[in-house]
Amino acid sequence: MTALPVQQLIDLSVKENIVPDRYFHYDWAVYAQWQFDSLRQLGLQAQHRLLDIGCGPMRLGSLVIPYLDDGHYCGVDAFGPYLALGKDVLSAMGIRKTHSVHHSSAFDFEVFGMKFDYAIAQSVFTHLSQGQMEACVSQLKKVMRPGGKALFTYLVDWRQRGFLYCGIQPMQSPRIPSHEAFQRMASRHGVNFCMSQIQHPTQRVGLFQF
Amino acid sequence: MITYQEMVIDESRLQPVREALYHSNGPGYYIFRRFLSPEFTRHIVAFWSTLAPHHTHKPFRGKKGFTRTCPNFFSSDQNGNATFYNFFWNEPADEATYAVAHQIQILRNRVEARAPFHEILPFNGRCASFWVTISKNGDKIVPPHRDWVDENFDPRRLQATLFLSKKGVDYTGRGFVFQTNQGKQVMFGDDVMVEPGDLALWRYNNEHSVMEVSSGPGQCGFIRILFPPEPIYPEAFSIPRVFDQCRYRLRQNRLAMKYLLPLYVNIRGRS
Repeated sequence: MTALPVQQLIDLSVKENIVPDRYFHYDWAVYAQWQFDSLRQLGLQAQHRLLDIGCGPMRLGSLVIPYLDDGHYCGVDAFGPYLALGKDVLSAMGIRKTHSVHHSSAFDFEVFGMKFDYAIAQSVFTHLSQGQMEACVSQLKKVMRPGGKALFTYLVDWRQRGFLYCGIQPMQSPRIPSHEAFQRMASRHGVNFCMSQIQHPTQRVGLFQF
Repeated sequence: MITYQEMVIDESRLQPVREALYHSNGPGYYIFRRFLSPEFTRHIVAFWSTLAPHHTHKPFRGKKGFTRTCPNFFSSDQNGNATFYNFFWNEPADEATYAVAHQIQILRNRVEARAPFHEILPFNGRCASFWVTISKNGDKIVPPHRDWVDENFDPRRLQATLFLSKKGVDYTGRGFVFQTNQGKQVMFGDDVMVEPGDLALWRYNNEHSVMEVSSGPGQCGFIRILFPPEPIYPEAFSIPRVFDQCRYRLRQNRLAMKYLLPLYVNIRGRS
C-alpha cells in the first residue's frame, strides 16, 4: 500500500484533532512521492541514513521507512498532533520497521546519536524565522556526514510574516528575496549551497552539501 | 487573572465537534444547544422582525456589490421573505446581533483550525458576512446544492446557522434539509431537533437546501442567521476614490511627509 485512502486518512486525522485540508490530505500522495523520488534522484539508497526535518505525520516516512534499512530513518517535528497521526498512519499501513521520531522545535538532531547521509526539509523553511533557519543549518552541520546532502524547499517572499499555524501555533515565514539569501547562509556555516534542478509542485528547491 | 490562552477555546473541547463534522461516521453537523440565551434570542428576533430596513440598509443589488466599503444590504419579496446582509466593517444596526455574530465567526474559525480573526475582515479577498434571513413562504427558497466543490474545493469549510425560530410553532413545512456524511437526508426541526438559540455548524460540501416553508399571520417564519464567506470585489473606479487612495498612500510615505507636507502647508497656508 503506497498511501491510505483519503477518507481513511481524514478519519485518522480527526481522531488526532486535525481537520481535513485540500492540500494536506487530498494531495498527500503527490507530496509523499515527490519527496521520495527526489531523494532517490539524489542517490538515497537503503543503507543510507535519512533525517526528515518536519516529518509531520509520516507523509514521506510512509514511503521511505519500508525502503531504508531498519533504524535508518529519523524524523523530527515541532507539532505534536502530527506525530500522533504519524503513528496511526504507519500502523494503518502495516509498516513495522524500526525508526526514530522526536518531538522538538530545537533542531537538536544530535539526540538520534548518528550521522546522516541525507536530510530533507519539505515545506519547513516556509515555517521558520531567519534565526531558526540559521540554527537548523548550524545543527545539521553537526550531524551530516562529509558529502551529505540536505534537500529543502522554500518560497521567495520579500516580506517576513508571522502566522498562527492551525489557528493556534505561532510561527514565522522568513523574508527570502532571492536564493542568494541561502548562498550567504551557506557561507556563514561553511557549507555549499546550490539551487536544485528538481521541480517541486509549488515551491523552489535548494540543496545544502556538507 | 485572565490570559490569552484562557480566552481561546481549548483544542480538546473542539475534538468532538470536529469528529462529528468530518469523520465518515459523524453526521456532518454539530449542534451547540442553547448557544444563545432566550433573552438574546427574543431580542434578535424582535429587532429584525420589526426593523424598517431603509434606515440602516441599502437595497441589495447583487453580490458584485460586496466591496470593502459597501454598506449593509437588504432584500425582500411579496411573500414576506427578507434577508439582511451585514458586514463586520459596518456600524451595526443591532449590537447584540453583531456581538453574537462576531463570536460565532471566531468559533467557526477555531473549529476549522484557522486563526480566530480569519475572514472577519477581507484581508485576502473574501470575508464572512452575517445574514439575518426571514423565510415566511416559499417553495424552493434555497434549492439543493453543495458549496466549496470543484475548482474551489475546500473540505474544511463549514457553514454556521443560528436558529432563531421553531418549526411547528413559527413556521411549517420542510425548512432546512441536509445530507449527512452517510448520504441520508435529514430535516432540521424534525429528524434533527433544534430549538431557537441553537447553533449548528455543518459541512458546506454536503448537499443542503431550504424548501417549502409556510407561515401565517402571527407567525414570524423561519428565522436564522447564516455566515456566508463571500468574495469581496474591487471598488468601482471613481476620481474621488482614486484621490483618497493617493492621499492615503502619501501619508504612509515618510519622505513625502518630510518634504511634501511642509510644501503643502506653505502653499495652502494652513497646518
